[in-house]
Amino acid sequence: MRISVSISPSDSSLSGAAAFLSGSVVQALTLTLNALAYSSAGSPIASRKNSDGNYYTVTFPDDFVHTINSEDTLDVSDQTGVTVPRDPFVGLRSESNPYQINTPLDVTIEIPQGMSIGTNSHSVHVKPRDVFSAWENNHSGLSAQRDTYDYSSPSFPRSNEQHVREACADPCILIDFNTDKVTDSTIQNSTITIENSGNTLGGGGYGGMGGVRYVVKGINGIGGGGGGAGMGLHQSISSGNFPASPTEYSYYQFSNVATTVGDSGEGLSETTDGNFLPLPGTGGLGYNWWPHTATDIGVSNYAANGTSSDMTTAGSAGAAQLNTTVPGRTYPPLSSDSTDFHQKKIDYSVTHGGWGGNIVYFRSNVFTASAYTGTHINIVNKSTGYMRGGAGGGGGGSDQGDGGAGGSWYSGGSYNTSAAHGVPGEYKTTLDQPYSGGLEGSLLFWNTSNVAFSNTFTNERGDGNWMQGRDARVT
Amino acid sequence: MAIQTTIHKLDVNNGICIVTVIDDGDYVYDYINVGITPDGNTAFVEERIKNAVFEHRQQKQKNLNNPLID
Repeated sequence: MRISVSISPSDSSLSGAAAFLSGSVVQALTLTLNALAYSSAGSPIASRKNSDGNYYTVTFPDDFVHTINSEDTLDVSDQTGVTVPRDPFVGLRSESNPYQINTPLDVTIEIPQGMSIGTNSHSVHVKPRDVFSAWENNHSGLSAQRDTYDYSSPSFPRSNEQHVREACADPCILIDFNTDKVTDSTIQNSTITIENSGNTLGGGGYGGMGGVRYVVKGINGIGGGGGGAGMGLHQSISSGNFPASPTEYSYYQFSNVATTVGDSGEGLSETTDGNFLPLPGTGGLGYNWWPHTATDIGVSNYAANGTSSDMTTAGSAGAAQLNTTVPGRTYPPLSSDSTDFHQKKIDYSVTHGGWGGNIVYFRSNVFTASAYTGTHINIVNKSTGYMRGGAGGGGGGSDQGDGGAGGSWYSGGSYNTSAAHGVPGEYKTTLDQPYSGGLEGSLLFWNTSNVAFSNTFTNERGDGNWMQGRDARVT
Repeated sequence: MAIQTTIHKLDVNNGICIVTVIDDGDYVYDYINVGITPDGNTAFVEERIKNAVFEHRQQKQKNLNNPLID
């Protein structure tokens, strides 16, 4: 573990990091933050470590600040005599609550070899309303083009509503420049550098659920199979235990989404975000394979679930229901207001596969008449680093269509240099595949309308691989 | 008409049975999970594959009888 703080004192009358900066000239606070050291010392980043040893979604600056405005230090538990500050930004904050960072930054976040950061949640950090805004404004990092469909096009009906939620994949590293975290002074002149020597790999997108088509009132069509989950670094999914508790990481959580109802395209409120619970790596439910009624699936005529995924295996698609002999358990009852399980309202978008976890997500909610400039993100994949967006989940099938398989980082046993998107689900009636697979996660998802950005990607690996997302492949 | 079935993964505890089924050169299932009940009864899997092959052949014949005309 290497810890370096490349600043030197220039004014001993000031406290904390401010003592190292001149009082008359605005200088950037130059810091190197070793993520593992801050974790070992007990900064909030320690709480990101899961029982499986992986870290899931590290946030900056919050996860590196133990106590705001404290001048004390924390001992790094496995390094004798090494300390980290409780607040690396003490003395350089606003004077009143919420004590935003109020100075230009030149921060390097080091992810050392042996540290693994993945994603284990969906739409917890990346809110649907934020992505909805990004989509409408066609922000960089949100590729809306997929297969033959341009989901951002008004000609694709209700496209924004259909695909916002599955695009809300949480990131490995969240850089939060919202106005309660930093001031204009920071936004307008800061450089954040990520140096990855470890494993920074997005979680796999969840598989879409199998859907069904309305036939006539009270009669549904034949169910589709679930989509397979995309490959990624996420918590292991206990897929087949048919749990009774909705708090378990399971298919059951995924089924909850079918019970939530959005009011309209504007139904992207904070209050409904929490109802969207599919976790990265979860296979999609087949249309009529409900997890909590395991005793009544003893027939050969059901739509099967897609399977879950892990670091080395992508999820397989689920087979469709074969005929209507067994009607299955319908949800929700379709009516003339909702003629397809997958089309009408945002909460019915569950037939589409989830997008893979992003590597870095930058957000800022600052509102200005003209865009701020001066924020730079540099991402460096060191020689030992692995860095790739989570693979997309497969789309769910509908109307007797099979689901789509999850995306994979490998192809034919070798590293997959192509995009690791999920395979769309099948709509049997037309033999079309409109139920999109999730896209691979992005290296950098920049989501703000008022901060113009610049960034660099650098891959120092000898093989030229493992620095890839849907936005770039860096060799 | 030869039917080739490969079971890639059988995990009864998790309800997973991933198969590839090739019927006379056509993929009926390509690495697809057809599921399996918790009691591990493979008769249901066999019945599903049989039905899927039947449907595939039926659809193939329909397509032959009603070719697309350019």
